[in-house]
Amino acid sequence: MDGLIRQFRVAYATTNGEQLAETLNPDVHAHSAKFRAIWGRGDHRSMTADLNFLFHQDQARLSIRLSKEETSGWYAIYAVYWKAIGEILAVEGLRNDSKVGRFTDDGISIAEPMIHGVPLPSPLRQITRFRANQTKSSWAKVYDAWKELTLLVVRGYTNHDFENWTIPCLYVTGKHLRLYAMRADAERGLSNDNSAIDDLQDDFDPQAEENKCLEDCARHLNRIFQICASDRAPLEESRKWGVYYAVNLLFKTYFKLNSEPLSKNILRVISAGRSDIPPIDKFPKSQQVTFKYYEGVLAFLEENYVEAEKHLEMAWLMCHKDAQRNLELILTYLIPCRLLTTHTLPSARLLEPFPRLQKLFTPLARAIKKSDLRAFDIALRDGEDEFIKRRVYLTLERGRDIVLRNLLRKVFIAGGFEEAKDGAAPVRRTRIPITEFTAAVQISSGEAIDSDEVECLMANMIYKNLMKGYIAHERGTVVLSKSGAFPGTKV
Amino acid sequence: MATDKPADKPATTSEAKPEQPTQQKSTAALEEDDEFEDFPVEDWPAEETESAAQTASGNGTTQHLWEESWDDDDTSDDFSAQLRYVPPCPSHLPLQTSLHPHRVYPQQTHTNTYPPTSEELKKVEASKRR
Amino acid sequence: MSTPDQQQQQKFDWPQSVRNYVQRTFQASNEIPGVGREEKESRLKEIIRSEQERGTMFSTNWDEMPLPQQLIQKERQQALMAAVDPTTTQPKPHSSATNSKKRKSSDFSESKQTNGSTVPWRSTKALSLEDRVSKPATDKRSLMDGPLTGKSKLQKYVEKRQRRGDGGYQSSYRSPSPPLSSGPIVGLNTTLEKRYLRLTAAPKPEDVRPEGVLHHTLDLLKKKWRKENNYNYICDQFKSLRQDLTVQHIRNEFTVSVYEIHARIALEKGDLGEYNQCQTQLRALYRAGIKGNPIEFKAYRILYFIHTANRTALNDAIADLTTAEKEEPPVKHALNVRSALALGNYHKFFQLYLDVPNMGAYLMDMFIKRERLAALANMCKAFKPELKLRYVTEELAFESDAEAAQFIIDYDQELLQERGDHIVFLTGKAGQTFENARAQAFRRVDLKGQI
Repeated sequence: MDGLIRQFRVAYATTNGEQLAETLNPDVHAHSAKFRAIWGRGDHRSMTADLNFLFHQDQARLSIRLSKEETSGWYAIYAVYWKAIGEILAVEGLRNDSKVGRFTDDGISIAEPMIHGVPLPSPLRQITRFRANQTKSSWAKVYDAWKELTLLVVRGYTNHDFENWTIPCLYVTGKHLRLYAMRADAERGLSNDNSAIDDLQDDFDPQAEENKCLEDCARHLNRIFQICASDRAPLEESRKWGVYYAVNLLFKTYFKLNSEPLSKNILRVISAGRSDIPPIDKFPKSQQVTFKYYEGVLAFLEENYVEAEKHLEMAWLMCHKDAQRNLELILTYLIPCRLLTTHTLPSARLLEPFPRLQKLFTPLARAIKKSDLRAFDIALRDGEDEFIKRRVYLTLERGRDIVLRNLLRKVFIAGGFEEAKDGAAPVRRTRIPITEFTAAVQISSGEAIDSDEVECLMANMIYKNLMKGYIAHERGTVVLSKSGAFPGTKV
Repeated sequence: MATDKPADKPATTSEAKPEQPTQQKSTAALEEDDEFEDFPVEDWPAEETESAAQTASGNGTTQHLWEESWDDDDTSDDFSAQLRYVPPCPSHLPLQTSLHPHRVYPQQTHTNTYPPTSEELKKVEASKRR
Repeated sequence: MSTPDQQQQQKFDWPQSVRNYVQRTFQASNEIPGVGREEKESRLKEIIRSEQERGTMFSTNWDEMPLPQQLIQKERQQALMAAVDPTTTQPKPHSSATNSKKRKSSDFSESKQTNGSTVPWRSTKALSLEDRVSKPATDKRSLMDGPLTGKSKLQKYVEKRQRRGDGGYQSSYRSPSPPLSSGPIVGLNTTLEKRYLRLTAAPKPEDVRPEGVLHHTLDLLKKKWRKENNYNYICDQFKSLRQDLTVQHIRNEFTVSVYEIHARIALEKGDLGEYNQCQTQLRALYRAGIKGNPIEFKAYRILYFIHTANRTALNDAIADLTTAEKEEPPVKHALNVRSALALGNYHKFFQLYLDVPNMGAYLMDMFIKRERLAALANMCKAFKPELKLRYVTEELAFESDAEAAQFIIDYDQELLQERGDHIVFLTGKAGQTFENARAQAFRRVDLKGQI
């Protein structure tokens, strides 16, 4: 506790919000010794005695100016933080005060690697066994303890005069609340616990069952968002500077809950309040990029590709050059966007640093360029699972139109020129028998196709402005425009 | 799995309860690792952005990263020759003699004669005008 | 449901009757041996919370409400009785489905009970049909309160919280309540037919039918549906059947068959709200590995989301499929319908419309008009100057030239012209007619949305 509060004092003396937030960072794996020391022997009374001394008697406390309200706010926060650390150490098998902890059948403590952001990677087995054994520690308990902490931090702002430079604390608590919620849900999913069932419903609510904690977490994050967005203090003291912290956490949460409409609501709220929320470019780049990414993906999922491209491009340009994973995620959506908006493809150079994207997009891009329907269909089918997972399948599928456009364009070019009259510049042949297109489609797709379907496909090209002209059905010909039959492709 | 280890403690008996039914996993179960990651730092100078990195390597633009979706290089003379010859298409079936005989609506009675006479069409139009 | 304001107020302001109830709970004279204080407390909290959440704190008759210890005791007795109930199995008759292309729900309700032979169900006291007079439901609630509201429950909840602003959250600071100690209730009711009533308080065992009775109920409902075809009645009965299953936490193959049958009936009657509720349940049940007819219903699910134009849900529906399922004819058909529409291939789409497995045609009928408009908009822009009407009839799968003609005339009477022995459709003169009609038809879907 000593060390923690000393760190707290330094942060306070220098009004360093990030440093302050660091005192609430529960990364027990990076600093397990430190956290074990904080937890001590898990004696609640000695913890309160420590805090009493540190907050009320220690002379060193006078080095920082803390109001009575602030003091009581922080006091309560660290007391609950201590409790939460105990739960986390227990569930991670890092607690050394016997009784509570994660033990195997033969009593050996297991410590699983914990990677933030990835809920419950491997130790599924231990957890099931854990639950079955009715051992006390669980992610559910961690979640509850951390929720208590989150509520206290929020109260710090509503009831204890916390200043806006301390906002990173809201982020750290919110961020971990979400991680613990996901773990608690995964843990419950394994134990077949039905406690989420609401007896007053006519049917089960599968969503509520699967994501009970995460839905609860969403409400608390929303609360954080509210206390930031609704602050009416002058901008330099305002919590509005915490808005994008909260929004980005909410986006991540709503995406996991598969609830894009809720994300749209948030967007609506902040764009309505744009005038008093500081402009996005005043925020740190990490927040800007994250926000633009989610804003772009939301537009993407709504098929608003022009808008999506704008946001994603911004995210991509501003992203840190070494954040490979995030760059890859941005491109995962930006590439399909570009395919539909400007009909452009990623170059080998762009994909070079991303083997995964290469594997996904190179075969498609190649098929499109070569106007090879068969290769396109195969590439789409081969990547289907991955595309569906990334939710780009339904967009990429429409790339087939571009393949077809390129194919018809080739037919047009192969048709050559009409004989020039009176020395005028030669004009391309614009009346083309449907049979030629039918042949082209059959060659390219390797499948038989009847002329009615070919006409249908061509009608589509005309309807979508990928080809200019009309179909004279009775005469079995297509009459293409003399100028720019294939807009944007130089013929 | 846990159950094939000898149970040396009574508590482990509760593990014997059947595990969740093993189902065939759907091919594209949505993964957890597709989340946008937290950046290790809050902010960075413009020189460290992707934009700066790319324009530096591309003579001041990012144009070289995107290319046109069509390619005129592979247009062969063969192609136009092939187009003149329409391969026999197995789906050039004889025209259907009746319309969709296999679609049956249980409750519907078919009274339409086919094809409709022009009188019939006039009737339809007339009924519409009324 | 109460308004958020009321609800908020209630959190701080308990009626005297509740205070009395709490007091009675802890009176020494009301103690029941064997029911511990902790148990009592947690149950009490649960009762009050549920009344609070439903906003019925003031309307509930607290003086009549059984005390927590009484409820606990009663449940224990029921659990005991349920444990000694005899268990029997009864294979169901199996009749073959009809060959009609557009199958009706009654085709299925008989044939799908084959799994039933492995489902144990409890028989209760003698049940006689004659005892009970069926009262066909007259209210249309079941038809009207479908979930096509475009918002998820969570979303509505969050919105409600948002509207409430800061105040509503203060009260949520509470230490986590202890987990429920009691399991689900076990019903004691033996009535085969029961009107559906929305629950406003924890259900009483004497109002809930145990699974054994529900098996008989399902048989009766299937018979009645075939004989009387009264949808309002059937839907109401199925809802109460579903409710009884839910409150008892019964999730097995029987549950699946109840939802499947209700889904088919709702489909046949075009009650998409009810259908969608069933479909959501079925998805969860199949995912839990419970057997049923996932192929049939996964195909419907795809067609349904095509109808509601919900891309995200459609993506998820595809993500739910295994490689093997994608090759099953009904699923394959639905996927082909989807891709044909995605690529604007109306030619293929209407061919698929002509041959739909199971009851999928009922779903496709929901969006066939709008897709015809889309195809016509397309044709009018691409084909000049005209098309034979017969071509339209065939391409858009109309039943006859007359039907095609009528469809076109409904939008513009000047677009058809007699030309000797045939009629032509003047595509060149249609202008924006079908484009506008198409846009309007799709806009309507967007507004309606779905869960």
